Amino acid sequence: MTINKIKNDNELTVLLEGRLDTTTAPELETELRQNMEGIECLILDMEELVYLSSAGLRVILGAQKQMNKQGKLLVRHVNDTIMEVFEVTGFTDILTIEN
Amino acid sequence: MQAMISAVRDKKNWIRLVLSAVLFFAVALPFRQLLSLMPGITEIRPANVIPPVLGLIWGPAAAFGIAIGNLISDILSGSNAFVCMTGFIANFIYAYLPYKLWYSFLVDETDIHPALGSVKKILKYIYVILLDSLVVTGMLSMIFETAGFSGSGSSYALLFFNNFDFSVLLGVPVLIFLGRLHPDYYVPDTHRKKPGSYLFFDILLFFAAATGLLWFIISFAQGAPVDSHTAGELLVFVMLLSLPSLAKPFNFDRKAQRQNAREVRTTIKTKVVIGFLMLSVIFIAFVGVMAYNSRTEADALTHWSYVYRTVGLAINIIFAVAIVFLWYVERNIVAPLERLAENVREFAAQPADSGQIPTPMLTKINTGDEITLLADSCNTMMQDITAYMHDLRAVTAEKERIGAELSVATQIQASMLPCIFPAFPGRPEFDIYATMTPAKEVGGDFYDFFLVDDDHLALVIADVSGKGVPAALFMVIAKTLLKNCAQTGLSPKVILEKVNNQLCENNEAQMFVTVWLGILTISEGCLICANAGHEYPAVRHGSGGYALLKDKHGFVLAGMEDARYREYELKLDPGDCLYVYTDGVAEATDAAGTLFGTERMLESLNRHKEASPQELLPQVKKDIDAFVGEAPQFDDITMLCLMFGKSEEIK
Repeated sequence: MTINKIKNDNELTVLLEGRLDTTTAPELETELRQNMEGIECLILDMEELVYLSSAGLRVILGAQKQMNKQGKLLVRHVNDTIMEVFEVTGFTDILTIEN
Repeated sequence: MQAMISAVRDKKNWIRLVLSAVLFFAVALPFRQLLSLMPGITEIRPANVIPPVLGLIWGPAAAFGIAIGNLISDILSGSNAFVCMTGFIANFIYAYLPYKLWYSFLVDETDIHPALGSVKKILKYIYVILLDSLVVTGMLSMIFETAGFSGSGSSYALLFFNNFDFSVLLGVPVLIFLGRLHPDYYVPDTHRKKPGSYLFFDILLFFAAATGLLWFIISFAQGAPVDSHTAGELLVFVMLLSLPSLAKPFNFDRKAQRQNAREVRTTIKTKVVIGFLMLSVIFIAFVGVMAYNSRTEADALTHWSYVYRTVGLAINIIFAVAIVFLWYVERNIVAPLERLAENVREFAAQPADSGQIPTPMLTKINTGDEITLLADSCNTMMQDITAYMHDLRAVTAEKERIGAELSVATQIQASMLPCIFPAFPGRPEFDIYATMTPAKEVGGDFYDFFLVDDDHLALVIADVSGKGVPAALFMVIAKTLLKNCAQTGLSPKVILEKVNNQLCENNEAQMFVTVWLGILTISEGCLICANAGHEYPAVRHGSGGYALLKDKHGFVLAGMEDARYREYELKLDPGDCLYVYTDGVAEATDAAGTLFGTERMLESLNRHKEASPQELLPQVKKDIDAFVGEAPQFDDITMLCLMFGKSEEIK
């Protein structure tokens, strides 16, 4: 799991690469918690993400709830595998997915 | 007495005897030739070192051998019977006395052999040789006086100094080097009858030595102190005084000594002693060459005498300096190091797997130099290690306790899931079976099924986000709420909406759970389902194969408050099957990272599509295991299968 961040004023783009599962989800959670201060637009780029487990979904849900209070969350470049996960779990209803 | 008999029977002792005799004879004879060539310097007798050294190493056998060697040599040189006999006795005592004294005085049971590896042992050797030389050389002088060989009186004193000097100056290096070769020492096999210093024997010997000393002092000042007749009487007196010492008891117990003996090794002490001796040899050789080159007298004999005296003086000085130096080194460097080494060795020697935490052996060294530093560091390290071991023990105990609690938790969790099959023996209208294989000790997956009333069967399969203890705790709450709610007879949609709001309250950890819930009206075969973000169920109608049912999904439970859920109806005919599962099935991964996937899952289901639920689930699990191979299981694998209609055995 590799997490790259690009910060632009109050817009933060997080590029996710690899597997987001039980082992790596806490990593992303910590990263987000440390960088959410004052962010109004959080973008999760999932182009290189190959696997997303329920633990990863939990972190994304947490981020969505946080961003509901202070701005908006965009999910970008969702590939078919990840899209299926979002559809099955009903996350498509709550996330703003841009492709 | 028994010891003596067995010593006589021991072949080794006879070999020692013969070797000693031959060696003494072989070395003594050339010097006798030399002696006759240069009558002015009779003092050079390096062969005198042989008796005490051999006596110390080989014991009584060597003493007899030397006495015999001397006897042969005396007979060959045509000495009279008196000289032969007294010479025999004197040489025997000369070799035997050091052996006797060595093992009866200041015996170090841990390192008993006469290998001179420390200053203490060198000093002990010098003391032994001093007594021995005073007594025996005194006897020899009296023998010569009695036999009428008397030359200049001062030659007796020189005789003593030569015996003593050569025995010490050559004996010390010889014994040190022999000690490194680990020769086969003869150690008396003795039982200590009672501990003591045996002062009586010593006093007699001191008298004999004092007589010898007096003799030499007087003879050095004014020539032979008494006439040949009185010398004979004095000889008998000295012999009588020294004879009891030959029977002096050994002051140690061989059995105890064997237990106390330390492993023989070359210590730093020995190395320092050897190094210093080598230096001395170079220095003495240098002094010898210098003395030889400073030729002032034409007379070769006087010149040799001068060289000899200069070298002798140099040897004595350097020896005295060496002893003081070695004593200093030993006290300030070697002894503290040895103490430290012994303590650290003892600490390290305690086996690590014995479960015992070793006690650090602290070494107090106050030399104030690097050794103190080293000792302090070692002390700190040993204390730290002990402290870490105590900590580790506590941590391990804690870990074991947590492990034990986790395994109890696993049991509790497993017992929360219905696990008695067939679950409804009285209901032939349907057949149900479910399994769960947790990935970690406790997992977040669960399934449930129960009768709401006689005509309604509720089915639940769910997956809590994450794993381990947090997931398990959340699972317990979710499962309880779902069951309570379902038992009030509500529809699946309402149940999910209600439970969702209940779970959302105080969900600080932001956990969520995906749930598929179905309620079957048994009499009609009508299954009302609602899906909160869970995997698509697989359904088999009639004689067809299993296929995924792409149902309408709601959001996961506990994700968002007031989430809306939709329900749908599924018509089941007798013989139709429903298979629900968690993502552990579809996302089982092999070593190459390939997912098992729903395609393979359906293939597996359809290979065994005629099987009853009880047979089907183990088959699917087997297929998953075969696919995954050696790769570790990431997620819990949970499956539930319902077959509607009359079960096999009822038909």
